[in-house]
Amino acid sequence: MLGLFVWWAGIFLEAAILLRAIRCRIFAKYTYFYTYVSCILLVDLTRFFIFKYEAPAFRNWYWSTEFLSVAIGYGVILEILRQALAHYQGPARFGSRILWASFFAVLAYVAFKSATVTNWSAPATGAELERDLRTVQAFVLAGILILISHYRIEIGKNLKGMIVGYGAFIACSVLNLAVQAYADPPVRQFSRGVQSYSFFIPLFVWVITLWSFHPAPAVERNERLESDYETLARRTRGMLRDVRGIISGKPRK
Amino acid sequence: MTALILYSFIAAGLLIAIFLALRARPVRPEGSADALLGARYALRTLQLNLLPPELVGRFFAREDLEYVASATTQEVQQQFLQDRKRLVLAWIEQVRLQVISLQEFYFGQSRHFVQLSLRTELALAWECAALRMVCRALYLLVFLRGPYGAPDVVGKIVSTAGRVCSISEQSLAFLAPAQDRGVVRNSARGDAAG
Repeated sequence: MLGLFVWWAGIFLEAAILLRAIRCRIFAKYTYFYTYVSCILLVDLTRFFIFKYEAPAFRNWYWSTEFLSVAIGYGVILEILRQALAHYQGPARFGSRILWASFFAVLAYVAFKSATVTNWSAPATGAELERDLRTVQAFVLAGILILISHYRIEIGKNLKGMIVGYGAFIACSVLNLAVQAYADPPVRQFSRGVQSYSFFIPLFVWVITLWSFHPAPAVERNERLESDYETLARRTRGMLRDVRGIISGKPRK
Repeated sequence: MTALILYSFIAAGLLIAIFLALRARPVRPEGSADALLGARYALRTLQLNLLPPELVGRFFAREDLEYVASATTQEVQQQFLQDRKRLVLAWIEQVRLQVISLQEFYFGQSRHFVQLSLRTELALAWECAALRMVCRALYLLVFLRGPYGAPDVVGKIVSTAGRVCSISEQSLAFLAPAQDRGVVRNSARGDAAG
């Protein structure tokens, strides 16, 4: 009963995010992100109806759609890259390189897995594959975030929400899937419970931060002459005080 | 178990990256007088006032200590060591602050260039990070062992800071002070007085 409630609550939150996007006309501004949310909503709805009416087919459907959701999760990362570095072409080039490198790494890894795994079992091999793909996503997202923090790029509330929500979800997934593979049985059981609720983190964050449109702060490259003059005067006064401090032997703190 | 720890580090690393990206202060607007003056001041202060070898050598010169030790009382020696320690700590802090200022200006400017060189960016980021770490370590060493406790680290800090300056100078040629040190010093004083 609680499981069904959680399921419906997730679907409700996803639908709320999409409805707000349509109502506030921000769907087109974050196309990749909302495409991802739409796909996730569709996946959840189909899973629910298959679970309800075609229970034997659920397991296969679950794993197929799980890989689909991992793959389209790159849409969120692409959106973060596109929005955060839109005005900064140099760092954006570095970000694209990270994304392409990860894409080829994933392709190589999946090809390697397909060639080497002989006894495929959905829960074990599927979980292992998902964990490794999420780990790659974690590296890609961390790389882009390092670029953002290194170049001190200002980001808006919407983008912050995408970063916090999806980042926390990936971190939680990597940890949960690792615990399920390597920890003791009681801890694994607990971890499974946590995993089924972990998708609520991004959903709650996205409902709050994407409730309305908050554009990224404007890039100030050409300041008005008046404000420049004020800054110039302020800085010159500061430097004069410094020099005076050095001469009098009392450097300004 | 090792794998579990590894994955935990990856998850923690991602959370730290999120935290760092969200708390990053924006840099000063590009091209503003504030940013330009700050960077010019930092470069000039580092190159001319903080890093000349003779100045740094003087800070850490043992001859001063030996002279004071041979010619004065124990109390004067103690006072000399305390004063020298304060001076050296202030110098290290100044170097660190000017390096941060230069770093902020450089990356605030470079992010707008399309043809960024990955090698240069990584080199400069590494040099700045290393220099700041060395400054912190040196500060700690001097704080704990006194001004004459870490002569080797001083050489390293000066050479690394010099490299940071020369890389920054190539990119920010217009900020570099004039070659003639005397002229620059005089003009700086003249500006200040005027």
